[in-house]
Amino acid sequence: MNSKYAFLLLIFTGFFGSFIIYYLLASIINPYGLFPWGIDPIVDQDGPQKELLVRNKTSIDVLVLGSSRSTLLSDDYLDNISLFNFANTLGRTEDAYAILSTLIYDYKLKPKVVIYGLDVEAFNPDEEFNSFLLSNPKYFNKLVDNLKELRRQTLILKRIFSVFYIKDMMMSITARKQYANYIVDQNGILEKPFKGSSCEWKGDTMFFLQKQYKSKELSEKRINYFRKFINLTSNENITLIVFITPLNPSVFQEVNKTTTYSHRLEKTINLLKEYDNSIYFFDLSDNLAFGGNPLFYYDCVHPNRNNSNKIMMKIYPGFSNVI
Amino acid sequence: MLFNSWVFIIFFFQAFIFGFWILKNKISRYIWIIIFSLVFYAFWNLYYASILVISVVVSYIFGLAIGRYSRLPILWLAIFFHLGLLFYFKYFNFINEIVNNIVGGNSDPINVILPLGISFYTFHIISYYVDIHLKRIQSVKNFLKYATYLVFFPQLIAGPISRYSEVKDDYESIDKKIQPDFIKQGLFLFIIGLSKKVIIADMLGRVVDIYYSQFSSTDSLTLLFVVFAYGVQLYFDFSGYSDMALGLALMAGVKLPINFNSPFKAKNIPEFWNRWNMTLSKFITVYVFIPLSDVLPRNIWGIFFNLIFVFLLWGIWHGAGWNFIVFGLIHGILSIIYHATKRYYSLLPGLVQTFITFTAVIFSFIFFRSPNLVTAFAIIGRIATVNGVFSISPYIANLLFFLILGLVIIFFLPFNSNSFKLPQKPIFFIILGALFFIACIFMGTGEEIFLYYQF
Repeated sequence: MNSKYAFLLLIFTGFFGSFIIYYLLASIINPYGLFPWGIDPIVDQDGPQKELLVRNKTSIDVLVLGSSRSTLLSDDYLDNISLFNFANTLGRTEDAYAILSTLIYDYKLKPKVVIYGLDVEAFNPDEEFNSFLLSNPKYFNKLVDNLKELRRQTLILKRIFSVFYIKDMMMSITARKQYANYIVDQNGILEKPFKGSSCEWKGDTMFFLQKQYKSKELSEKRINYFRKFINLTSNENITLIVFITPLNPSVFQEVNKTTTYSHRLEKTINLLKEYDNSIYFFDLSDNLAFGGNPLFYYDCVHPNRNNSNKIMMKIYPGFSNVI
Repeated sequence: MLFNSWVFIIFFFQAFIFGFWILKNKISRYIWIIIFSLVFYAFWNLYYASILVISVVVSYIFGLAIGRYSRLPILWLAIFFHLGLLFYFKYFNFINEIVNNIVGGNSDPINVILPLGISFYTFHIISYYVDIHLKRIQSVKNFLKYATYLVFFPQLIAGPISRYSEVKDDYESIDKKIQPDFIKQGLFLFIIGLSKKVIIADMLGRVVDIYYSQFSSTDSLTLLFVVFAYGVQLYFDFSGYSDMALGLALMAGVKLPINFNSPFKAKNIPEFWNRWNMTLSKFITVYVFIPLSDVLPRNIWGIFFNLIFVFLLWGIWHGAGWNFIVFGLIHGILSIIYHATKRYYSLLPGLVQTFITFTAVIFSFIFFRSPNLVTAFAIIGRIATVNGVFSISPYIANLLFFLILGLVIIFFLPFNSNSFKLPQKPIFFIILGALFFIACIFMGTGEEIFLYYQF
């Protein structure tokens, strides 16, 4: 090296060289659709597949929205009714609003009934905005009033410089294999075979529990989206059924030990009661109280098909006169 | 402010180095360091910065008095003043709880938070007092120089603890021209330390926290991995901080003493403590163990008592809780066992000795990490009774990846960052730059506090 400070130049070269390589890689893989170009991004297993399926529909009687806890709600007990289950990882209130808006305005699909499986976490301020949602500009653009906030959160430099982005880039590359194994039927209902019904306290469950212990409050932003969602259904004359999704009783017992979850549950119920006249609301948060079978879960938080059918039977009176 | 924060790296650090480079004379550089150090501290808590300032002023005056009058009562008064502050903030509630339990009282705990770095700067001050009293050094007349020594931000919060005699020449010649080699070595240490912290320690820490909070529902093998992962996390966290501190100081021309020397390669417990948090070990040896040896009986029992006492002190320094006392006690007992069986223990192959020491230290860290004794014993019980069925979840896969990476670095890399001699090939610096970039990506997931900040 000629100069005593040439090492600084070399360190900068290493730093900015890596920056450029990483930035190019990120923009090519583009998992959240943050860049206007890039290969087909897949960061969600069932979302894109469900979107392809729903595009082919000409009409839908019943649309199911919600998180993965609602993915097994089916038309097993509904004769001659067209049901489409769009529940996937998009379970937050802004997700529900964005999806329904997209179906109505972009795909001209107006369901008669919308069933929204509402998780208490849908209002949790500690939940990030859903990166899966942001990956699809169609959904993203529906959230115009909070666009600034979302843009701030998705500022490209901030967003891509995190290990989570690397993880999602890897998922974009490798998810095709999982995508192939992920089976949903023509109506968007998950057909993945589940082994056993035990609730094992592994990492996912613990991660879920950790998030429950943080905040007692509901997110104002998410409450606003929920109100917009209700207004949308009301303006479009759609019957809205909202039920609070049940958890495996052992987990429900655990989260209720702390005040944070029970506070949010109580506030969620109070919020829903405000809309007593415009929505049908079912509090199914307590599996035992609503008559679900405590064994009918394929893990700690997800009801299996049998329990999902019990849920459907429970909420059916809410929309039986509409269809 | 954290070393691993954007505000520190992008603004604070660069502004500090730039100003330091512009300013040429001693006084202005002292003032520059003092201002930046106080801002660095006040970022955490403006009110507690005043405690730091008071400690600096009082210790400066006491230092002059001890130097001038050389009277033991003045020394004790000075030491008690600073230990009193430390005791009040760190141990008052703990002692209060014990007293309440014994006499059945019901006095409320005080609502105070522990001032950051108080035990570290208190130890600096005590070593300064004692060294003046024993005529190892002279009291510093120049207030700015003394304040610089005490508040210098790289070492302010979590050490390393430098005795004044070790760094006085560097502070004396603070006006010397910044050496390119110092910048080079300093940047290397800073980047390595940052990478240790954000890539390994923080990634392990997130999973460790989850499982420690839900240990009663976790299977034994997972828990065992988590326990090992915490040991590795703690090492990378604290040694990462120390590397960054050394690097930052070096860029200002101050050579702080090294604090870690591959501690997990130690073959016995005393050797471990000679390699882990070395400056605090040295402090306790010089200012507690050796003076105590002079007053205790010079036989085996005197040594054993001294060892137990010193390690108890070690334990309780880490925190006011019975789990820390047990932590110290374990190390005291293991040291005694080692000394008692040294003749036979040394016959074991070196690798076996390292394995035993490493396992024992990791085991003791269960007490260190647990919030209380009951939890620590419950975790040990759950591991010992082989509960649950192990399966690989994404979190465990994550944990195992960074655990194995950490262990490979600890045991198989031929150097430790503190004594590593920098290669001069251009490719090395390009890789260093790339490593810095990777560390920045990991930093993007959020700033995690250094574990030793709480002590």
